Amino acid sequence: MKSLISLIKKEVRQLNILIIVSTLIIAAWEWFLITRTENWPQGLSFGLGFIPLFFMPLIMLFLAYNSYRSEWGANTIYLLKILPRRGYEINFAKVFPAFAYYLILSGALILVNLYFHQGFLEQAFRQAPEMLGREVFSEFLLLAYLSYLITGIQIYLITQFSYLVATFFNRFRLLISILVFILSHYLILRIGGFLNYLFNWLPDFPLSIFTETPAGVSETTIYIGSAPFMVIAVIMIGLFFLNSRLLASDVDV
Amino acid sequence: MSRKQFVTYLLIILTLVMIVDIRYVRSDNHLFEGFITESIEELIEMEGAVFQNNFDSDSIKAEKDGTLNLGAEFLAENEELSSFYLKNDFGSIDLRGTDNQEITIDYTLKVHAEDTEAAEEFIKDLEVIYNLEGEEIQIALNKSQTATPDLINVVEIDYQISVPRELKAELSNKYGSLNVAELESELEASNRYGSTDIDKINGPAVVSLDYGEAEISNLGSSLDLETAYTENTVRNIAGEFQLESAYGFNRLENIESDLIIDSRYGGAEISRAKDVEVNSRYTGFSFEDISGKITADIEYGDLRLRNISDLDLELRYADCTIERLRDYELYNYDLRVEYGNIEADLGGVNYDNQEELSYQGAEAEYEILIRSEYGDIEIR
Repeated sequence: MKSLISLIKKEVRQLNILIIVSTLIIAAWEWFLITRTENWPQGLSFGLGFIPLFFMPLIMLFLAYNSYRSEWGANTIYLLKILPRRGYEINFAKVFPAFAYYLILSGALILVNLYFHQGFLEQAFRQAPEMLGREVFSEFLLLAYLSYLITGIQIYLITQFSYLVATFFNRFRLLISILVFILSHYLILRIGGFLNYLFNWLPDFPLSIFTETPAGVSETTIYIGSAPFMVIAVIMIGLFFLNSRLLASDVDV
Repeated sequence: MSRKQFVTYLLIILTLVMIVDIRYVRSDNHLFEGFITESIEELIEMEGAVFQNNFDSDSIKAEKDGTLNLGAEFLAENEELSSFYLKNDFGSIDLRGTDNQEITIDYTLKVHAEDTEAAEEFIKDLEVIYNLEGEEIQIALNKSQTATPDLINVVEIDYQISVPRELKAELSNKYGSLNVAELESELEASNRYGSTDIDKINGPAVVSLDYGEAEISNLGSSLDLETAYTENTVRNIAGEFQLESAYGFNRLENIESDLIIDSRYGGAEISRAKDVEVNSRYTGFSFEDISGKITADIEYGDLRLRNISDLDLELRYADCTIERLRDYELYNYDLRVEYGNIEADLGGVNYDNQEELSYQGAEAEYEILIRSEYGDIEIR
């Protein structure tokens, strides 16, 4: 356990600069927007406050690609492979700091944005009470954030997988990584369609929505299928162990 | 076979499979399909059915015409009657004032339903009726248009109405057109999700519009117009005109009395008006041929003025361009900007990059007073 913690610490230390720089940039951006709230159109600074969320999956992609590339580049992959640790422990030490960074920074950004725009949100709820209640907003936000987290971890693991497969080859590693990255997404989408049937028995997620029609405003509860969430979870866990296995025994160094 | 060869062949095969699958198979079975449950499918079908009702006659399963005629005798018996009220939750209203002392309502009922038999059974008992409430006659369907039995979605009603012109009208419409013309008395009208045409009303008019286009013209008295997400053309208003607009565009012509505008987001073109008072945020304005004074408090949104008289403007984050002054000597100028520039061409003398400009016109009749922050002022 101690060695796992020290592995994680080592990875966190490697991410230090990225964490500090990205946190500072995002904090500066949020601070700038908060100071403009009074002067800019209502909602503009609130909307712009979420822009960093679009870049964070790209940062995850960069982190994943570099997670083992840096080991190959610095020739430390030999040391990593001879460590008396299992492949999944080594891989966990890579994945955990990146995911924690993604989770904490995106969560903090959303909370800060919501906290400093309470006035705007109050007004928005007052203006459209029929169409959007607080509870609906919370449900939607929670589901959206859950999907966002899944996207981040999915990008990370697929990118890592793409790089590890590319290490089987001595040339065109970037091109092969891109091909594997595309193929992986295609296979997850396609095979996921069949795997959905395995999890159809799970209860679906209820979501309240409001619709205005000639028959008046009506509240309806719709259900969003939970099977794809389970399928993605299973595939991601599988991919995590596949990456670990590839690292521990299959790839050549 | 080495691992490298195995991976190579696997990648080639999977790539070919992917290309063939995307190019030729085009199956809908994919991961995200799993999100779609029966409740979502039902909702999509319902939404489609409801919103197609406006445009698609396929969902109309039964239809019938009817007439409600309240003649001179009825009006003589109810002398106190002074107001006409109609709320239509789905359909159109076409109301016209006439010299005849009678109320004639021709209507078409359209039942949007999932089943023809149910619709035909349901429409049998439907008719438009009236109710007298003090001085008001209220017109309605004898059943709810929207709270309908199973298999019946909604009842659409298209009204063609003629009333004595001196009757006050209170009309509320949704999901269809609203046309009102030739009334001598007051008009209170609202329309949502449809076009509106109001013409030749001599009494004061109070109008509320959301989503759609509107044309309002030839009003003999005041107009109080509240709009959101609409494109409005308003012409020939004799009385005071109060406009409250959000997220819309307003084209106003020939306003013969005071014009008061409160606008948030959007734009407005105003031509031929007298005194104008503007309070706006995030709205662009164009003024032309204004014979009275323009008083404005504007934040964000550019301002273009042509052929104007007196000006008293407070601007923030708004550029202002003044063109086609009658004669620059007819005006006294008092312009001040902070964080901006003044550029002016007064009789061939150029004032560029100024922060203040004061000039007394030799034959001054009008005052141009502008205070601006974070915006430029240009006089061409």
